[in-house]
Amino acid sequence: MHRRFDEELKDLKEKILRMGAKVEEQIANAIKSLVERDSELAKEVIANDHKVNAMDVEIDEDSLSLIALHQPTAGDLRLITTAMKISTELERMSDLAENIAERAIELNEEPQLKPYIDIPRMAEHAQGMVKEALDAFVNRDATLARKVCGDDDFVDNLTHQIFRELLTYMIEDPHSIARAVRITFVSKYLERMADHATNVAELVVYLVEGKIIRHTSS
Amino acid sequence: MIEPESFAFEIIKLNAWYGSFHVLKDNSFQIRSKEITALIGPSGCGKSTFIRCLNRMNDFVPGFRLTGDVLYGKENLYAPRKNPMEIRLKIGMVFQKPNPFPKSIYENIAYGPRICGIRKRVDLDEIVEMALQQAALWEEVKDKLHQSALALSGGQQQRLCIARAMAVEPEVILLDEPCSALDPIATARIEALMMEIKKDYTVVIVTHNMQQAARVSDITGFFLLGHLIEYGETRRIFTNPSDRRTEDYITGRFG
Amino acid sequence: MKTLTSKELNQLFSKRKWADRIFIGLALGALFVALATLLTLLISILIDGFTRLSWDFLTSYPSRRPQRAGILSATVGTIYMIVLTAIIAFPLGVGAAIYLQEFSKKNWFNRLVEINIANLAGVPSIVYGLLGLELFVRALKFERSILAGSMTMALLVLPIIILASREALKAVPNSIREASFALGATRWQTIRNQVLPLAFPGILTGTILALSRAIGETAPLIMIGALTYIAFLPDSIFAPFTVLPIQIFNWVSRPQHAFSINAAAAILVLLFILLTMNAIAIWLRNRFQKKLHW
Repeated sequence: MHRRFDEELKDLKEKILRMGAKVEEQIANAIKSLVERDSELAKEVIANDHKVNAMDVEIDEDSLSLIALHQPTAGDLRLITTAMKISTELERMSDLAENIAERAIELNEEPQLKPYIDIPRMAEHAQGMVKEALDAFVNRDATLARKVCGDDDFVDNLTHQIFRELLTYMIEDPHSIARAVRITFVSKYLERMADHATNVAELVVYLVEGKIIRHTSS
Repeated sequence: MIEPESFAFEIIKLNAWYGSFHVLKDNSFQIRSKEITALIGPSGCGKSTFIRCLNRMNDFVPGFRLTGDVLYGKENLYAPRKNPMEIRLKIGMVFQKPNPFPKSIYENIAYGPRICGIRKRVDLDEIVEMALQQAALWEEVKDKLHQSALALSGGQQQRLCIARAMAVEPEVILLDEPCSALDPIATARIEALMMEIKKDYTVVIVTHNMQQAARVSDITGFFLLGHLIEYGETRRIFTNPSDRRTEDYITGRFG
Repeated sequence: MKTLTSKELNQLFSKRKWADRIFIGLALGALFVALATLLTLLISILIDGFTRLSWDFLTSYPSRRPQRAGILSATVGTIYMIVLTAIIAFPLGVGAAIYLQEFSKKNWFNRLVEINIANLAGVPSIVYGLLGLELFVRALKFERSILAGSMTMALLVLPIIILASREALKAVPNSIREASFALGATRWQTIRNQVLPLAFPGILTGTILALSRAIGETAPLIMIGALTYIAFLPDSIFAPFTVLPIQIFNWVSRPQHAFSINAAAAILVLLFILLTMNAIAIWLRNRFQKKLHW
């Protein structure tokens, strides 16, 4: 049965996907602005954050009005509440991308401390997690979503590795401390992005199965 | 898991026919006591027929036939020597369209106790007042007990019917789409009433209004084409039903 | 629908209005014809008979002299007969109607019974006369008495009472019965306390209308032997009797013109009784309906 409500749900999903695409772009550009030492690009990333915020607000408003007007239940209700929460997670990720861009601008003013190898690896992995989480959302694929939850470990491990390495730099040369700390921040931001991607994946599991797996160790 | 002592009804392999039409197909489940159970489903799915099996009102339909057991408190309601009148005293019913007798408010309520043999004015007065209090109608009608029941508004008439059912002190109250002829405010009052009385009565309500089932009931059962498809806690049914058909019906994709 | 101009619309409507007017005219005409016929009859009888009405007329027995003839025995006979008929037919008829409507199952046998009752209502009254003659007068040996007459008339009006009562019972909404059953009432409690009170006005009206028909019956009573010349009042239900229609019939067949006048006067009395019965029916119905005026 073809209903207006179904169209509106479809619109909501598409808005999530567009927001996701924008966030992925922000992340990619932020990392690029660091690795290629392109501060102009970094400034663009910072300027574009408000667009992502606007999308978050729009999704919230749409969701609220769908709830008020249609009294959704079961799967429809889970879709709408999940959409609201996913948009929050995406907005956070965009903020983190903005933070990375800010650190990039600062780092670009000084000579590069070391070749960026692990950071891009982390970034690629985190981006992959975001993309897969959104794919799982679109395709209602709980298996994929669960896999994403498992991928978090890789990013966590890399964070520790990067920190240990930067620690040696800081011990050797005190002048490198500022740069090292900033790079540490970037790795932290990427780790948190991966956490947010995990949250999105957990929400997708709830959407598909009706089970809340947030805050459980599995 | 539901403990057996707290079942009011146990339905076992219930099948029913109107003539050759197989209206209820192989239903087995339990109804909890002192809770509100809502039965939902599209038109013609058999939910009204089912609820009438619980107090043998279907006995009056020519050509009606039933197999299986309906146990109330461990006794089979359809056992050969069971007295249907006795059953209906314990299991009362309120109908879709309010149907007060064309008599005074007092006489409407007093009718049930009267036919049970209670004659003394004093006793009847007490019963009438108590029933009207329980139905949250006393304050509105206490000064016009001897006026016609038909002069009341639709919502008041329905509450009168509920009071009338309660006057014979049943254990169960069955409601067959009680609010479908009422406006939203009257509906809200009856829903509030139902939540009040479930402390003392087992309530089973048939409704085609899903939001009402969601608002009011503890347990919801979904009927489709004569068969109970899904049955469980209302909260779960409305957030995460197990059966695809339940989900489609609840979200309005059919029916 | 294409939009019509104002002129076209007016033409359309005026054609329809004319059709309306013609139809109303025809209907009124039919009414007029019926009323006029009735009024003509009534007025001619009034003219003929009114002057003959007097206390003497009402309280004298029939006689060979028209001036001395009266309708006392006929009137009394009519009244006795109707009352006895009512006493016999009412409980039987209402009881049968209650059984058929409230208790009987819908099987082929009961369908047959229902169809036959409806047919009986249309059987010519003389057939009932024949039945009464064989059964009550001869077989049961009631002779040509009020009892035989009343029982015959009771058979005559029974189908009508049954039909009318059934309609009255059917008119009681089923929701009332359901409400009563749901409270644990038996069928009889429901009928006695809820259905009958509501159906009673209709039953009463039907009964009185049936009796109004009985009052005017001549042929069956002649068949069972109601006499035409009774110069005494019946002293028991086993006594012979006569009724107004028979008396009228008798007078009309006499050659003297004065007897025709008598007949006209007797017709007026009969009409008066009839109208009174109908008025009572209406009054009773209104009274009962007011009681349930809810």
